[in-house]
Amino acid sequence: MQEKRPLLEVRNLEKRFGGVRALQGASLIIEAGETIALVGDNGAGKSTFVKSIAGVQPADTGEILLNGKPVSIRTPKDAGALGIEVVYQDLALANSLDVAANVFLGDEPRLLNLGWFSIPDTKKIARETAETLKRLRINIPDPNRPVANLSGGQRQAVAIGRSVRKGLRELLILDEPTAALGVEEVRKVLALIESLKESGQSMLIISHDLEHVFRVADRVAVMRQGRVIATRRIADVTKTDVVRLIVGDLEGAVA
Amino acid sequence: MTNPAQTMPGSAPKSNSLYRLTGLPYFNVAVAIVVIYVALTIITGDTFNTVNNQITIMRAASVFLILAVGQTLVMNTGGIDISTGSMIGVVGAIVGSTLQSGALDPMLAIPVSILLGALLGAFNGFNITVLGVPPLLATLGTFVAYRGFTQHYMGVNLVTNLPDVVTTVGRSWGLGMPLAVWIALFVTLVGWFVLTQTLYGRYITAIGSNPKAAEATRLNVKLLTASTYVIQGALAGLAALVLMGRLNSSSAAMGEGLELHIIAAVVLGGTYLFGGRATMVGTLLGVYLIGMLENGLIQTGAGFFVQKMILGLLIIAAVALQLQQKRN
Ligand SMILES: Nc1ncnc2c1ncn2[C@@H]1O[C@H](COP(=O)(O)OP(=O)(O)O)[C@@H](O)[C@H]1O
Ligand SMILES: [Mg+2]
Repeated sequence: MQEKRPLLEVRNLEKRFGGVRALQGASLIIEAGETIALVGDNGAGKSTFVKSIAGVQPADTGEILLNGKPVSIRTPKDAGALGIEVVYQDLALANSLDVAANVFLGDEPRLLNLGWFSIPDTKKIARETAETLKRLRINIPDPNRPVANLSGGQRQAVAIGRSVRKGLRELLILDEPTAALGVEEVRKVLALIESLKESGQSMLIISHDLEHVFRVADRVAVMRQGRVIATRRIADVTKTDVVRLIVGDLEGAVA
Repeated sequence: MTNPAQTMPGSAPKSNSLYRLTGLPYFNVAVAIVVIYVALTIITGDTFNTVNNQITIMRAASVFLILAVGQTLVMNTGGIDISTGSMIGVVGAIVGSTLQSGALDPMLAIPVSILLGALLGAFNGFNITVLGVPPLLATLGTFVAYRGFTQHYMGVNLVTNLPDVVTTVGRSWGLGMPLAVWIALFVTLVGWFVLTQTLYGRYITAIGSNPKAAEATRLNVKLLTASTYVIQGALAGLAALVLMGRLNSSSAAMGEGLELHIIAAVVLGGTYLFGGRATMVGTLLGVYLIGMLENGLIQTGAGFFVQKMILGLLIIAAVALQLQQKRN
């Protein structure tokens, strides 16, 4: 990374669900332009951590700073306004609408503005969708088909395309982007992530697959029992090291 | 999972136009109409296949069609409204009796009917989206409650001799067809436009196919969903007026038994019972199919109860067929 400006600084997040302490002082610094992977065993707190950054489920205590300024993220709308965009695991696409309709859903340019009964500018929507897909080198043969007919990888690509349609976001969070995909599909999604990375998009990626993490990430952050217990440059560690950190098998691992 | 979009360019389906045709959501109903039309023409000799009889079918179907347009929007969100017949009852009772007593200016009969219907629909929408009552139960509740109100309010009274405005809506003709048919076709056209050409159509389709996605894109899922019940109510108000006009009367039983008819027509037309796909052309064809069947069954001497049996079984068949298609 050329510059190591902290983009997002998360300090001491705590979150309880009744008796369960899902986050117990989780802290993480994400640098501008980097791709950081968040790994950890089931129940380590990854989803809870991300949901608190995304405003889906705000933490009980803790601080979040964006570009050095403290911010309050209480709702997904807050996060969106700050440029923090999440592509969720369940993809959140409307299956029976086509690619373009999904990419623009809720934010369509209009030919005639009549509130809900506005006439969308379908030509512009189709054109800009094609441009977005082209820019991201996403190849979808027939974008007029319902997204239900697309493969898992293509659906993932559409969901990612939607999140960066208006250009780069401050931070793009991807939740298990390669889960449940075939080999070829995984390759395409990883290529898409790489091209986003080249264009300078900062990303936080949750993944179970260390193979994929090592291919695309600059750094890896390991969560255990509600804390980020270590962050490492990918260049400095092996997969075995990371596995040890995940299961808590390495003496002196706590950073 | 199959993955058609991944196929190589050379392996596209051979007959693309045939594929497109059979892939239409209303393909099945169109085929059924042709087959049954031919069969009824043969069975009944020459009484079924006449212009007069076809107009009779359409005239009877006009009220169903108006309601089916609203039902198509409701079902597209993944909902259902079985209270339509009872909403007609309430509007008929209140508007009919106030017209007769002179309390309601006949010139206001049309807007008041529609507004009253919209209010009844809004109550459904509120119960479903704010209180979270499942649509089937929420509208089953008002199905009973609205009918109960009508029966209590009307007793054994019959409102008759309605003013000209109302009978004109239900009985007059223009351009070779009853006005009611023109009204129903106009409503269908507007419904088609809203569904296929406006953001509203997209949004309710998105809600029906994945409410989470709709919410994630910051659509107002609750208000949009509720609005479909309001539209269904407003159309029930209009349908009540057409029906009152045609009968030139209104009673406690008005609109009874309509709901199943409408749901069958919409589902047969190809709109998914579970939301996410809707077609106004299919709804138009579905309403005609059922109207034609009913007419044909009467002509072949089958009784009212046989009609009911067939209607009920048709709904099951249509839904089973949809589930089958969805699976593959
Ligand atoms: N909504 C919730 N209610 C109760 N417990 C929860 C909830 N969400 C997460 N948890 C608990 O918090 C802990 C962390 O969960 P999670 O963040 O989902 O971990 P991960 O995504 O790393 O698998 C787990 O013990 C989990 O059971
Ligand atoms: Mg998780």
